[in-house]
Amino acid sequence: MTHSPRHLALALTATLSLLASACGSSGQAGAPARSSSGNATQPAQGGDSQALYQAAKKEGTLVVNTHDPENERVGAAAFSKRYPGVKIEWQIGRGADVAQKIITQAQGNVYNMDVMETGPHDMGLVQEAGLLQPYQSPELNSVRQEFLDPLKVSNPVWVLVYGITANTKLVPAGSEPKSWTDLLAARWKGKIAMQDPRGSGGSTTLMLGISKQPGLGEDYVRKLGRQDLFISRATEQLLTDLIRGEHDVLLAASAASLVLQKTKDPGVPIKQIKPTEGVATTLLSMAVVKNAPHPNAARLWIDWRLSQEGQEAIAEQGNAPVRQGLKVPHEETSLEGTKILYVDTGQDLANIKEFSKTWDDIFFRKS
Amino acid sequence: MRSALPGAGMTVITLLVAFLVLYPLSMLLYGSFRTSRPGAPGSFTLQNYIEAYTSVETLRLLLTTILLMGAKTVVATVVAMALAFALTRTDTPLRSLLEVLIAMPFFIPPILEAIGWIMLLSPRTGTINVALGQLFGSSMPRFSIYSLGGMIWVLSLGSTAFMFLLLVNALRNIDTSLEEAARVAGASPLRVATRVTLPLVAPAILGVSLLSFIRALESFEVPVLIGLPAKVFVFPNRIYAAVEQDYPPNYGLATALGVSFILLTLGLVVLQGRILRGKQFFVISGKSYRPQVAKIGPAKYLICVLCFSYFLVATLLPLSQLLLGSVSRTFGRWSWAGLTLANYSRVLADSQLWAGLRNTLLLGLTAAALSMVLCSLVAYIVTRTRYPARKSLDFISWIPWTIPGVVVGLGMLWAYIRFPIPIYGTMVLIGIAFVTSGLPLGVRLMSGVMVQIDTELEESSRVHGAGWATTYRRILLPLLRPAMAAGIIILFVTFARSLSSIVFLAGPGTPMLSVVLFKYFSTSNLEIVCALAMIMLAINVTGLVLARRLGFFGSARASV
Repeated sequence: MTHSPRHLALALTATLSLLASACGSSGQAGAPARSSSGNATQPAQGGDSQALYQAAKKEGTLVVNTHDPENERVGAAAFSKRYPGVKIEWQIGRGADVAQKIITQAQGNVYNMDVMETGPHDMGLVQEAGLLQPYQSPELNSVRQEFLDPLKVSNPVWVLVYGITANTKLVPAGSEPKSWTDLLAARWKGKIAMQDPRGSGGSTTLMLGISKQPGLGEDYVRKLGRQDLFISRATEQLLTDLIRGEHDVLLAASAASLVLQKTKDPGVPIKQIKPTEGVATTLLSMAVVKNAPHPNAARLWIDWRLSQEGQEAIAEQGNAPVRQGLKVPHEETSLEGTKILYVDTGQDLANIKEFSKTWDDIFFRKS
Repeated sequence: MRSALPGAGMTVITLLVAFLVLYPLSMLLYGSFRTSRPGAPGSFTLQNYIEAYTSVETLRLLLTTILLMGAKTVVATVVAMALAFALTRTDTPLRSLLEVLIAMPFFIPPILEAIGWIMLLSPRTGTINVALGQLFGSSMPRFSIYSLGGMIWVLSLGSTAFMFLLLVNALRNIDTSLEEAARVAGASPLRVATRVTLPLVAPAILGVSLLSFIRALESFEVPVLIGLPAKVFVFPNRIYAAVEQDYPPNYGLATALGVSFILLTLGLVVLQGRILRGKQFFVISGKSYRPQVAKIGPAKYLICVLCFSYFLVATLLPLSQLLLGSVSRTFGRWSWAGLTLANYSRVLADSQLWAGLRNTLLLGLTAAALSMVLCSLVAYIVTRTRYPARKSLDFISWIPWTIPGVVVGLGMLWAYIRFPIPIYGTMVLIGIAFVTSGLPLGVRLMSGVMVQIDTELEESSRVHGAGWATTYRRILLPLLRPAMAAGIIILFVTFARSLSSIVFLAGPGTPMLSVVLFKYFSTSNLEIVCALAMIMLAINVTGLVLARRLGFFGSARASV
């Protein structure tokens, strides 16, 4: 991140703000679902962003979780500029820990989070505990259909995109694998690295997608297992090793992490490949936490995150936005015209233990 | 030996320690017998225990773990003891400097230590392998960090620094007159070391080895980073999987798995008691002594070179990788053009870092000091009184060491969320978590020294009319000061690193140092993590040197 100059971000934000105010930031569709929580603050009418802003301003603060506030720098600055008086307070931590914390706090009647933003695994835990307030943003009209929550509780915010990453020094242009099937060739034996797929993470999503894909399926995973993959839990170390040339290709590194590397160091010898069968994606979503102390600020944040301005900020930070028709500055995170193999929304979590057992057998138990 | 601490006082301390440890543990144990988390509707179950202990796999993992941990503990004990002995009992030149240099790895987070070795010994691109290939041609067989040997190597080096820090302290407390007497009687330096010095520090060595052996269960870094690719599976992998790979996370199973370590620890503590039974270790007496080091002639230069070589291999090599990483645009991709100070400026400009540093220093040092006072009292009861519950007290103080941090953090959360006194979300609770987690190490450190202090000092104080409190304050505390100072520094470093307890227990907007470290780690900013680690290392080493300069490590009458 050392390279992205602050003034560039500011200029972009200013331009976007102008653009957004010209377009009007929200539509009229769909009143938000009402929560039954006994909050003192009166929820503002959905779709009326000014009323919502005034109510949020009265609340003054918004508590939302993140791995790293730096990751939200562009968005937070733009939000604060558009809605002065609503202060963002970050709960830093792993999604899994934050989820456990919300669940246990609720047992002690402690509620201090407004918005939970996380992947399907952790969101599922909080949702199953009945600790989310259903809220559907009016902005959802502009979002790709496959990213919508069928239960109408949470809202998509961005996606993680997983393809193949190659070291361009070891894999010269033209000789890259074009598809997942290409990786089964003898040329790649002992040259492929992947994050441990058991549990959760990019490789889990990828292996789920491949296992369920007609034409690939478990048979493909078994053949891949015979390629002597290097498997590790240390995601950041895997990318470092790929850059150094310890491996030729790495599966399921998130596109966002590649953008981050390239922003830091433009000469880094890595290249993203979007295989012909499609990329796997994990949906990150956001939801209002039950009994949120600042429910209006929470809704304001969700609406804004999905607005043109909010999604441009997400794209600028190197993540793949869910809103359609956006110009995405980084090719790696653009989904326009990209085939999607699988969207991980947590639909297969119930069977994850069985899948993990199969993968354990395939990748770890061979002689 | 007559007890001088009033019985009521001992009962209060025992109850306090029992509460601190057993209350969160009971929540975890309760949770491990339920189909749901404590507080949620659910029913009684033995499923977690059946799942944990009916598979051959679990047994196999336990055996591999015990062998691996045993191997690394033996290696680390021998090396740490040799280094500590050379630097406290001989006239080796530059020993003050060497002491700081050899202790340095303790101040580096274990995960970075492991990454440093991966960078050095990766089969294809590891710096050492590449260098050897260039020197001896490509036919030269390559080291692979991803092997059982690689795991033992990295684990041993990490433990050595930790054990060295504790052993230096134990060795420094010994009255040299015993050794001198042996020398005068014609014993060779080796004979003095093995027949006089070694037996005197036996309790400390045993305690520290036990700490190191069991501590390995806490450390997931090496098993996950190095063991997994090598397909060497140990017990921590299994606990890690229960928490990280099951959906929903199975904390009950993790606790059930952890129970075997509580039992294992119990067995080891009993064994330790048997070994030490009936032996006397009093070496700090009322008679005045001057600390002296053995003059070993020209051998001292050889020892100095050996110590520097150890520092070079164990510390400087991995540290150099991290240092390079901290000044590179991309970790692991070295080039002159890629050098930058941007990582440092980003870290130093992070307002959260400063707030986190302030909070951590304030809370960490206070909690470390309180913890050490409590530990000294516990150690006193355990080693110097006949209080009936002393053995239980000793064992209870071990428990926090045997359960992985993330599980302990959750137990604390379950325990204190509905506590009648509203301390949840306050710094007080984090302080309590710190003091609790500091018990195992602090009590071991204090016990090791406490058994060396002759009871005649206390008795003489009481004969002269001083009460227990005055005797403790005027006689014992000054004698314990070096161990206390070492304990505070070691505990502070441990607290500064602990993430789980902070994420679970702190409210939003209370930045702590480990959270700042985590946020850079989780977003793949290894370069910045390295820069932060270098800054922390500098702060810690400065603290260590300052504490030494200010005489915190000199014993009351004998400054070294």
